[in-house]
Amino acid sequence: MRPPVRRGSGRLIAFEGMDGSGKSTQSRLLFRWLQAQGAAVAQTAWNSSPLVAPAIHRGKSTRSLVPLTFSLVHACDFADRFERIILPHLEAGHTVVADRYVFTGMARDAARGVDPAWLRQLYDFAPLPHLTFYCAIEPEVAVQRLLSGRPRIKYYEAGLDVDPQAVDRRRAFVRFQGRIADEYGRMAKEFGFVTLDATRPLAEQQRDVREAVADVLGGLDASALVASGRGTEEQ
Amino acid sequence: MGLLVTLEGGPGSGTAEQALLLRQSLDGEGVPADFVQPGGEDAWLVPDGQRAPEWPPASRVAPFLFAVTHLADTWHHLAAPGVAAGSIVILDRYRTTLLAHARARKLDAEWAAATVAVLRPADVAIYLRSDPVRQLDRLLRAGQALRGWQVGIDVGAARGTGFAGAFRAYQSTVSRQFDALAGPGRLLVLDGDGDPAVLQRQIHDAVITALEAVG
Repeated sequence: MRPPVRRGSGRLIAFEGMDGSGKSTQSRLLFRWLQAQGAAVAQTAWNSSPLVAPAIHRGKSTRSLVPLTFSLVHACDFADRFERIILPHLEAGHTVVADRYVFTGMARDAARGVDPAWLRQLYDFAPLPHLTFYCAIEPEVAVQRLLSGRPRIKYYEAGLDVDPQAVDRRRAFVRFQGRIADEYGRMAKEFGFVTLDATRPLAEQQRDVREAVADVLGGLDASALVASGRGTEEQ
Repeated sequence: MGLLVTLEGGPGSGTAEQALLLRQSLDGEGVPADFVQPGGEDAWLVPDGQRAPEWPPASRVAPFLFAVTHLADTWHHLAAPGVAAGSIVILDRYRTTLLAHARARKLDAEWAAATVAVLRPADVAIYLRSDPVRQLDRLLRAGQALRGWQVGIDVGAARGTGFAGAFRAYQSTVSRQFDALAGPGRLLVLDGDGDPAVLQRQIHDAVITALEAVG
C-alpha cells in the first residue's frame, strides 16, 4: 500500500475489528471529540456509498455474492467513498475518521479464501492511515454483544456463503470471525496497528485512542477531557 | 470442458452482431453455444428498472471496480455453468475491453491489469478493430443514443467538440489502448470494418481451431 497522503497534511485515522468489537462506538466518540476540539474532521463508514448500496443490497438479499464478487463490490464501495470523501478531505488538510478501512476488506475476503496478495494490490490505490486502531476481541464475546442488540446473526457475517453446511449460525459466526481475527493479527504486525483490548471499559479505550490521536495531530489536549470523563459516551 | 470466447472492441464495432452470428453458426453445426451480454437483463448489479450508477466526474477507480465486479458476476453466474457443461460461451466484451477503457481513462495500467487478472481468462479473445467514424455511423444507424462513457465525457473529451467529435477522439484513444494490449497469444486482432461474412468465417475458424486443440 501507499504511504499516507502528503498533500494538504490531512490525517487519516482508521478503526478496525470484527463485528461486535465496539469499533464504531470508539470511532464515533473520537469523531465527536475532535469536533468539540474545533478540528476539521470528517467521518466515513464501511459499506455506505449511496451509489453502490443498491448493488450490495441486491447481492446480499439474493445471496448471489460469491467470495470474489463480495470482495470486489465492497472494494467498489470503498473506492467511491475514497474518491468522493476521504481523499478530498485529506487533500484539504482535514482529519478523516474511518469506521473500517481497507483492512476490513482484506481480512474478510482472505477469510473467504480470496488470495491475500491480490487483495493487497486491489487496495493499493488507497494510502495507509496515519493511525489504525484494532479493537481486539474474542469471537465468542463479540457474538454475545451482537445478539444482545438484535435477534440473529446475518448470513454473510456468519460466513455462511463459504460454510453452507453450517447448522448453527452462532457457531458459524465464531468460526468465520475467528479466521478474520487471524488475518487481523497478521496485519497488525504488517501494518503497525495500535491494538485496543475491546473488553476494557469504553472510557479507558477512548482515553488511549485520544492520547494516540493527539500525538499524531498535535495541538490537542487529550488529558483534560479524559481525566474528567467528559466527552465519552456509554455504548 | 467448454470454451470461453470473448469478442472485444469499442461501441459500434460489431461485437454483439458477430457474437450472435457465431452462436448461430455453431448451433447449426451441432456445437452447443451460449451468448452472454454482460450488460444484459440478468445482471443483478443493476436492479430491475434502474440504470448503472451515475458516477461523479472525478470518479475513476470506483466505476472500474464496479465493472470488474459486474464481469466477475457474469462469469460466475452466467458463463461458468455453460463452460463447465461443455458449451462454448461467447461473451460480448470482457477483460480486454475493460482494460482498454481503464487505460484511456488514465487509471494506473499496471494496477488495473493486476486487478482484472483475477477474472478467468478467455480461451479465445478476439478484438474487432474498427475506425471510430465507422463505429459512430453504426451506432447512429441503429438509432442508439450516445452515452457519456462512450464519448469520454467524464474525462473531458467532449469539451468544444460536440458529442460526435468527442466520440471519435475518445474512441481513437481507446483503440490505441486495444492495440497496446494486443500481442501474440493474447488477442486475435481482426478487421471489424471488413466484409461481415469474411469476418464471421475468421472468427468461426479461430474458435473451431481452439476447440480442436482442447480435444
